[in-house]
Amino acid sequence: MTDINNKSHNLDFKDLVDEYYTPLFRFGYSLSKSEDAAGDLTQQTFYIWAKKGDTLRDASKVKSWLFTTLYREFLRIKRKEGTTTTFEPEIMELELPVVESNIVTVLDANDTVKCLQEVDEIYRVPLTLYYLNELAYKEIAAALDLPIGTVMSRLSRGKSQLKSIILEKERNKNEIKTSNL
Amino acid sequence: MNNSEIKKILQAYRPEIDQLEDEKIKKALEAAANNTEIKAFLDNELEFDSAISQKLKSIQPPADLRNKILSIVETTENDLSKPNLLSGKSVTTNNIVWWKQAMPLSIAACFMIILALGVVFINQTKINKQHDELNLLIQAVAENAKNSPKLEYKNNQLVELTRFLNDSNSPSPNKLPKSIEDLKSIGCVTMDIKGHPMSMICFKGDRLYHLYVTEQNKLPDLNNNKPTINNWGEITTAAWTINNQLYILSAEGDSNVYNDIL
Repeated sequence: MTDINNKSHNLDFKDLVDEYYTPLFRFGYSLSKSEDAAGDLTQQTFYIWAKKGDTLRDASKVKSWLFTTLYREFLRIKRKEGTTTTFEPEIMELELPVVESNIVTVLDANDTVKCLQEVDEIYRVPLTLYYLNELAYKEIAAALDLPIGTVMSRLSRGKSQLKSIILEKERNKNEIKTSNL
Repeated sequence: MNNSEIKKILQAYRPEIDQLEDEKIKKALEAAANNTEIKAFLDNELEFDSAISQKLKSIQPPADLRNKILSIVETTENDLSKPNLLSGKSVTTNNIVWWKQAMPLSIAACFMIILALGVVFINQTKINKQHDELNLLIQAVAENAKNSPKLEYKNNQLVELTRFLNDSNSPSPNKLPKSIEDLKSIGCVTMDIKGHPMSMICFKGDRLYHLYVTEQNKLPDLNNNKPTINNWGEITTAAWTINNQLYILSAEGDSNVYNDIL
């Protein structure tokens, strides 16, 4: 992976696309739950970069800028559709469910993403960025314009939800298997 | 930090991404190294995270997405309004205010250029017309001087002639070169030449000089440092403008006639 931080300010558009279009698509897919919408969001992000990217003076911020832009575009579209979630659901601080990693291993990618997409959006956004491994949690906080403490809390709650959803799915699967026997 | 807080921090920790210089992470990792329960929790979290990350990263974008994105640069450079998305929707101009859009901007620019050229052309035409009018006026003054107009009021004192002109509501000279003031004044007359109310003062030096004065009004400026000399046959005129007044000095002779007084 090329270290974009070491690149000069004169960023090549093609290099930038090659470096980030896949993780941006994945992020968009997790947000929108639709391949078409994820493609549109990714293209729109690069379109905005093509128009305004030269105003970004700090090359080390490019990655955060792209993810932030995609997220803002997603929110803009949601606002237009009137489906913005503005509240944070009350979550009781429960003991974290323990999920064996082999349970995740047997899930296919689509199932995993589906589980992730069932997580409340407010937690899903930082959680997806976290799992994409593109941004440090401090960068996630900056990208989402949230305090670091809030990001940590949301990651924790999001993980907890994700684990519960995976366990629930696994339980349902096992029940179906048992009933078929 | 209690164990719950430590777990919360470790939940957000990715060894290859998050920096160890973060004090909180450092302390949480130290705690994990000294506490088997926290260590087990961390190991489990890291395994879970790694598995989820791998699944997420196995999602591949559509094969044509890269090329579609790369075509954005051309689209941006060539035509901002062409739709180019998977969904076929235009994402370009809807959010751009009209005065920032390329087409209206171009039209506005063209309009401004045409307007500017028009203004320049009209101004130039106006200036040319004013200069033509001035030239005709000077020529008419030269004609008038050649016919030696009859003086209306005679006095050797320039100040008296000026007072007469003021009392007659006729233009009177506000500022004259000393060399002309030093000439002997003979008399003055008021008249109208080509619609311009005008006063003429007659001076006597080595020859007769007729000084015509009028308010500049819409007549163009002339260089007041160097008078405009025109020869009209027997008559040569020297014209200048100063303090919103037009002065035309007329004398018989060629352009050298003014060598000593201007």
